[in-house]
Amino acid sequence: MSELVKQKKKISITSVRELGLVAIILILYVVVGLIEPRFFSFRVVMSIMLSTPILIIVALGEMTAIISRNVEVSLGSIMAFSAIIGGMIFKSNIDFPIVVVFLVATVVGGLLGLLNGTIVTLFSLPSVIVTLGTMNVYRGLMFVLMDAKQIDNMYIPRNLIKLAQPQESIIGIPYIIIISIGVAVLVSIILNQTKIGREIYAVGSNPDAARLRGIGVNKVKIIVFIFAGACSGFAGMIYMARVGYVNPVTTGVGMEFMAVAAAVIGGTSMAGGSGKTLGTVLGCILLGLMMTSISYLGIEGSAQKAMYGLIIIIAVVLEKIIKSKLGKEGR
Amino acid sequence: MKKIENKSLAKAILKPGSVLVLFLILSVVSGVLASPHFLDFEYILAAMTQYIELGIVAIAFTFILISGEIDISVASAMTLSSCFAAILYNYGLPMGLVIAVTLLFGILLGLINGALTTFTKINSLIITLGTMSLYRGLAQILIGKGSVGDFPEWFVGIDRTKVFGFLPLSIFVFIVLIVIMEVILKQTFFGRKVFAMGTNDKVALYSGVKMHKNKLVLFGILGLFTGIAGIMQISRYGLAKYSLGLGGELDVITMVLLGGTAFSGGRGSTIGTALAFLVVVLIKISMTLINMERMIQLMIIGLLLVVTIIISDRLHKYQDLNS
Amino acid sequence: MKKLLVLLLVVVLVAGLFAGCAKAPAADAKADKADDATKTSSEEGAEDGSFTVVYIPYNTGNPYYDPIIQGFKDSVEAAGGIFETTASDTPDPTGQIPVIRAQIQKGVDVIALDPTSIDALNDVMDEARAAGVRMFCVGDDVLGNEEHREAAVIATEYRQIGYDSIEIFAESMGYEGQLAVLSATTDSPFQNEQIEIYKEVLAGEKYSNMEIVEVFYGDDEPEKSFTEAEAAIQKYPDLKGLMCPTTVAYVAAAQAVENAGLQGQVLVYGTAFPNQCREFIKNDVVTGAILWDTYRLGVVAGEFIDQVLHDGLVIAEGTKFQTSYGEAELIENNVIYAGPPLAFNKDNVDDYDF
Repeated sequence: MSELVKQKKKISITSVRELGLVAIILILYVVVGLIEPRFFSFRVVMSIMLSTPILIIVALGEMTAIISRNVEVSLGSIMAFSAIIGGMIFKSNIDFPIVVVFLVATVVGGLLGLLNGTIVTLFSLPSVIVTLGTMNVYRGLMFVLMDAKQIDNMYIPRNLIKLAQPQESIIGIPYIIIISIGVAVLVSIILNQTKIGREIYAVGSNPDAARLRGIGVNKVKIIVFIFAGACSGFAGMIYMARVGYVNPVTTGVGMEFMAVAAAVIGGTSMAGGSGKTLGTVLGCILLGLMMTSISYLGIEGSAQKAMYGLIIIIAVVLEKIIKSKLGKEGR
Repeated sequence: MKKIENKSLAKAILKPGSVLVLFLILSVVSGVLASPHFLDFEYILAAMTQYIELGIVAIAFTFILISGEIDISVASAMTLSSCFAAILYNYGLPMGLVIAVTLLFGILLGLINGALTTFTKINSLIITLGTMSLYRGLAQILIGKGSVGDFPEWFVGIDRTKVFGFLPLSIFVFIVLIVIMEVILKQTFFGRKVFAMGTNDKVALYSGVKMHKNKLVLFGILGLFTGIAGIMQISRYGLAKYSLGLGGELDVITMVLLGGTAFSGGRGSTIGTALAFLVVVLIKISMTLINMERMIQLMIIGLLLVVTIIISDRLHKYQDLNS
Repeated sequence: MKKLLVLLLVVVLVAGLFAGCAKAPAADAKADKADDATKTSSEEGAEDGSFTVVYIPYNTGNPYYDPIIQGFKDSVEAAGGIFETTASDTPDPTGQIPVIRAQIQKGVDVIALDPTSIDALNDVMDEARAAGVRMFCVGDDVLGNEEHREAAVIATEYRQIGYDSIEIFAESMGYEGQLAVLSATTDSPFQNEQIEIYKEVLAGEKYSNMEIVEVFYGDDEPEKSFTEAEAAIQKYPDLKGLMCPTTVAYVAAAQAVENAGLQGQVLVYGTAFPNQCREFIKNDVVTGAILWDTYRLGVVAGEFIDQVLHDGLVIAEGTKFQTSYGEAELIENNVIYAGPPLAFNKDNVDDYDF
């Protein structure tokens, strides 16, 4: 019972930041809609919502890593690797139970995450460099191990694709959106309500102090990497449902970058120790909105990269300014 | 007696620098084994010019890393400078002036990174993560999807102009820059300050504002080098595209770390980076010669990076323990 | 213990390098037999009867090229040659140039490439030819810079696709009704040319009861194409057809029509890969799509090159030659069209895999 009260308290203290993000999202939507009236339609809103689940799930994994003071840049490759394995299962038998393939992809992602975590903890190396290396290793590994080829639309079960269509859904909300919200809720519970969640924050805030308190810092780190990998593996299946094919060279490229951006916009500090699920989810929605706005406003896709970069910088700088104004010291 | 002798022998061999030498030997050996067309000095020099811009950027990157900062926007900045130069020239400015302005522009890009890092005190990794995307995006906006070219005759082909009869001009520039920067690093007071900034931030901090200034200077220097690299790039290709050098940051980081510069700062040398450049290029040449599947090539470079940091980290710790 | 791990990792790395090496030395060794490990080899190779052809596609991991590569390989090997293929991971000259240079260094006889840029490759193509390597474009051409390559083999004449597709589509619509076009971006050259052809054809008598109501732009993005398709369906309640000159738009339109339950009422047609439209064709959401025969492109390219190298085929406008598919011809700028556009429908879509 007291747990529920604690949770309610946390929700009501939901800070200025999340409200600010919601405000920015709404303002942006209205502004773009005024310029391009077609924006004000259910179809477009649905399109924006449908483009976010993949990013949300990966970003939640990335957020968890950042909270623990690690950066994961191999998540895109892990996503592709898992999706390719899932796709190859379907290629050999299109009637294979979808739930099982989801499980396999998630486990594969978790294993790759485990590999990352092991290298980082065993040799005490900076995660950003290790994952920069494994990012390419996992991509190439697909070719070495499986001579990976694109999994075409025709090999993907219709039922999987239907998960991403507005028609087959609950009260008009496609399954993948519900699934991603479910994952977000799950992550929030784990981070806020469980022992491991608290340990993750502790390790990110101050690893030495955490060690002194008896927390198995390496154990926690490895769990975080496994989790981030598992999220990416799961997201790989969602990708397959949404996009309708998987390509070993292009799938997931740049995904980790957007995940970091979303997490940072959502309030996750690069110094570790802080980050909120809701913030990250809002960050993903904002990025999805931006992506769609750009194409509807007729701005060439070429402006996207510049905007992402700008948004990250602005978000991070704003946060610093706000934090120093409020007298807090980033912890 | 024997035990002590063995230990000093071990100490002599197990220096971080030995890894580099080992990899250099391995890269030559594997190249020779891979293809009979490998051991062609002229060809290797010619192939090297394709990566020399990244090598030049790596030199300045070494400084930044030693001082405890990082800048992953280097490849994007380099290409943005390239595109900037191309646009300027096509607007009618004479090429000589374009070069000068572009160098200033490169310094500006570096200073932006430096200013954001030092004044907001935000981790340079996240700042440059943002500028990496921003600069690439700006290049895309400037140039669009296609390419812009049509440069003057004298400007194009820096890789084909030979110095001393055999050495491509771009490689000559590279060597000159290495020598200059190594002297600055090891022989000047400024160089010592760079190391100090990386070893112990707080000690350097007692110089107060000076550290901010010095870091800004370092980012500016890195920016200058990306500008130089950008100009050399369009001289080689004869045109500018927004996608040039995509993914170059990985190669630069690999070269610098392989060269013995520690990721946490406080250690490194430009000679090391130059030798590491050689290793990476030789490996790439041999992989391309045997038509190795490109994705596997990337995997090998990724493996190289991971193995490099594991080994050099071990060796640094071993060295620290025994000195 | 840790030192052992370190040693193990070094071994793995070295093994990785050699493993990669092991994949290709067989091919390399064969090439060497023909050229004595010296650079220029065309004459020697041609006399032996053994020759090396390297095909450098746009990028790697792209299933579009699989049938082309297969066709090319089959025809080159049938002529007694050695076929290799390699590509960069990004469709960019930055990646293609070093690859081309490596082939020159290895002394191959022929380089066939699908150029990633119209002008950035001029110098390296000249370099190759100066070293005695035959240079051809297969797949796309370096428009405006044709003098740097000897000849080009293109899959089909793109304009013809426009004429064929609008005719097939009009017929299926019964030569009447409203249709909308779902294109890529406002300045994509291929799509704009197709749209011009649609308008040109529909201006004719036979089609006076048909009308293009609007052109929508999906930017070749699945998202946007999908919403644009739905927008078209909603905006024009009497819409009878959606014409899509790009696979992304085609797939989006077909999906949109299926979602809305309008198959049979709103017809979808356009250019699409067989693997991407197969499901829709089988489920009767669409009647078919149009593209070209990629396997044929590879075969014709290989046979052409063989005849140039060994049968003294003259590369000049007007020259005709025989292929497994019949006669082919070099037209202006030494361009060869491998064949006519290929229309897919329920009967033949299973014959193709790309």
